[in-house]
This record gives sequence, C-alpha cells and structure tokens, in this order.
Amino acid sequence: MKVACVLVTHLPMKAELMRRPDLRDRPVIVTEGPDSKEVVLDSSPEAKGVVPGMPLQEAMSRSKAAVLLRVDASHYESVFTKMIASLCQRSPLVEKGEMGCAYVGLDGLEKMYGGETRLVASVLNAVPHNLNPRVGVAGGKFMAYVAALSGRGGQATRVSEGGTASFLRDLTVDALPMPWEDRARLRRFGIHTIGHLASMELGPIQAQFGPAGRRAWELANGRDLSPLVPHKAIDAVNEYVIFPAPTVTLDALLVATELLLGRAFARPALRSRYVRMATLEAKVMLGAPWIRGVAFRDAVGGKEMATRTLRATLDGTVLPGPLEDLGLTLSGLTGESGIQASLFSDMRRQEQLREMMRQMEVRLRAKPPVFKVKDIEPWSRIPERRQALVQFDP
Amino acid sequence: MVKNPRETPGVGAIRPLNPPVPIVVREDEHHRLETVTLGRNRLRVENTEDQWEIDEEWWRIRPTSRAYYDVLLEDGQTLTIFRDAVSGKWYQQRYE
Repeated sequence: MKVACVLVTHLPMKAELMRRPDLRDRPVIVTEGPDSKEVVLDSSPEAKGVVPGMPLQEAMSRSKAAVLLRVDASHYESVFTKMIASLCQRSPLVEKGEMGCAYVGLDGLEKMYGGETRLVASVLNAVPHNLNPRVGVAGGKFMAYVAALSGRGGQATRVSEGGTASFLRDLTVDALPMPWEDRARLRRFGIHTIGHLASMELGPIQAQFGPAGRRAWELANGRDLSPLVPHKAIDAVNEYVIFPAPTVTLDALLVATELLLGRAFARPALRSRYVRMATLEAKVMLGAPWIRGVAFRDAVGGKEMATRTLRATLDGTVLPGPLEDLGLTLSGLTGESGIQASLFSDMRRQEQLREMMRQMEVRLRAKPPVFKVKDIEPWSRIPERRQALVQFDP
Repeated sequence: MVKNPRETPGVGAIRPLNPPVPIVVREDEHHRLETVTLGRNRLRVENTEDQWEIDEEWWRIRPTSRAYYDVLLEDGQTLTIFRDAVSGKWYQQRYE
C-alpha cells in the first residue's frame, strides 16, 4: 500500500493569516480555553519563545507585542475540510487525520497521472500554497507521516521500501504515536531514538508498555498494517451571514435564521430533498463560539416548517454575548422527494412569488433587490437598530 | 459535498433601516443651531422644538452617544438631526 501523508503544520495560524493578511510578519498568538485559563493554541514564528499549550500570561511575557486572537475552530475546520475535499478530487481514498493531517491512498493512480512524480505533485498542489503543505510518501501511514514531518514546506519526501529502517533510525521517540508519559518512560529507560527501540526485543517492550508498546515497536521496525479509513463527506448545506452590528437579541437571531433557511432551501442541493438536522453557529464577541444543534423529529423540506421548529426550539434561549455572525448547516439530507401537502396550503401563492422573483432575476441579471422590513430591536433607542431590511426570499 | 460559502459572506443580506445620513449644520459660537444644508439649500433654523440625548452600548469600542434635535426650518418643515458626540459630526435621521 502506497500512502501519501499531507501535513499542514500550524494550520490555525495559517488559516488566520489567510483571512488577515495584515498580520503577516507580526507576532500573533491564537489562544483557546476559558478566560481564566487561556492557553496558546498556535503562534506565528515572530512570537519568539511561545509554544502551544503555554499559559497566556507566560506567552505574553515572552512576546509582549503579540496580537491575540481567540480560537475560531469552525474556520479552521472549514479550511481543513476544503483541503480534504480538494484531496478527494485527486484520490478516491483519503483519510482525515488530526487537524492539518490527511492520508491519501496512491495505489493504482500512477498511470492515470503519468507517473509517481506527477501524482505526488498533484497531491501537493491540491492544497493552497499559503498553507505550505508537506508531503511524505511511503508504504504505510506512519512512515508517510514521519516523512512529511521530516520534510520541508512545499516539498515531498519519499521513503523507499528498503529505506525505512535507515530513515527512522536517528529520529527521536517523540515521532511515535504514544502518550507523552510513555515516551518519557522510554527515555528513562535510556531509549531516545526509534532506531534504539527497533533494536530491542519485543517481549520486554510489550511487558512494560502493553499494546501501545507493541505498536510502537512494530512501527519502529517499519511494520505498519493500519488501513486507510476513507473519509466520508457529510452531505450538508451551509449558509452564513454577518450581523451589521453585534446583536444580543433573540429576535435578530431568529430573523437571521429565517434568512439563512430561505437561502439554504433555495439551493439546488436541497431541491426535492428533506433535512433532519440544523446546526446554528455564531461567533460571540470576546467569547467562545455559540453552537446550537436541532434535530427535526420529522425531516423538513421547506423554509416555513424549519423556521417554525427552530423558532420553538430557540424560544427562551439566553445568548452568551453579542453575536457577530451566524452560520447555518443543514445536514442529514434524505432522498425523500415529497410529503403530501394540505389541499388548502398557500403553495400556489408562494410558487407565483418565486416565479416573479425568477423573472426579475433574469431581467436584471442579478439577485432582485427586493427586501422586506423585519423588527430587530423595536424597543432600541438607536433608530437604525429597530428594523432591518432582509432580502426577500419567498 | 456542498462548498461552505464562508469566504463570500452575504454582508448585504441584512441592512439596517433608517441609517443616519450625514448633513451639514452650522452653529454659532454658543453652539446654537444656525443653518442646516439640505441638498443645495441652506436653510435657517427657526426654532429647536425638542432636544434629547442617548448614550448606549458603553461596552463597545465605539459607544453610541448622540444629541438629537427636532428643528423647525425656515421653509416650515421639521427635521430631526443629531450630533455624534464621539465624532462630532452631524446626521439627519427619523426618530419615532
């Protein structure tokens, strides 16, 4: 089995720089955890002496001028998911590893790409250059990972079948997929390199470290039979909106939810399909993201029904702080083509409105600038906060 | 897999209604309102019929602090204007 490991180190930092180019060449620290126990998730090379897991206070004392960013896990996941989707275009067998790491099955693809070099180049080019990916190619996942880890950004490193032992020999035991405590114990036994571990008898290692020790020993000897577990893309539809100003009211959240549902159900991916799950996710000003998942008891196939259910579910929700944006993911898409509707529904009127909007769109060659007025914060003392114009989506 | 559209956020999908419109207002040395310029017409302020202030959202980096005036202009129309205490600029805005 020939495997390529595509590794993007410091993915959170690179994902932040992709949307904030102004932070390039500046010390930046991405933090995670509750306010009182914030730790470093990632940092830019300019933030000298800062390492992941370090308490924020210590990190700030080492890099005083650093720009602090709160973790935006959904953004990083989105970048990573795009990377996986792009790799899936290159090979039918792609395993999603930990954040920033993916394994690509290369067997049988060489002829299609005109040789291994072109195939590996294609895999490397599947990831945006600003993520600076590294690729390792070997006969197993672990070797491919180690090869990628040892390589340089934008380059591929290949380990031949016979070269495994010599490649691993001088690497430290830190590269092994073992708990930190076990690696520390290996060192206490005087075993610092993978080569040293490989030269030991299996029995004593297994006696001391159990199944994890056996696995580490096998990997150190170049035996890696772990299969590639193909990534199954989740069929989902995403929509996203930014609030004109951070909002703390449920009404604004409901208006935005309705807007997003309208957009989502207008997408071709949901045509004649029903959804079973809706997930709302919002960035909270100076706080952790707010996420709420709603599973529909019966699959819903339209904006109205989904809005009613979400309204009922969100009623009484206390928001953790001012929301800056809102993302909606509809998942659990079913193949259902329809549910018998009531004879007296207003479907005909809705269809006429939809048709009118379609005609306007064709005539204007753009989305018709038709809006409706919605109450956002009708009690607000700031007039422009009371109502908003929301894109009309029948 | 449907692509996540986060990279092209729909900023324009929700628009605030009744946003403040910048306007030129001239005051005298005692901060009494003298004239308001509407389009090309500079109109004299005949009377200030009402006046109130709002101070909101102190928790934001840019809080909202405004002094509103209902002014009667020389052509008979009543206009609601406000002075943004943060920027010092004048705006026209309906206030109901």
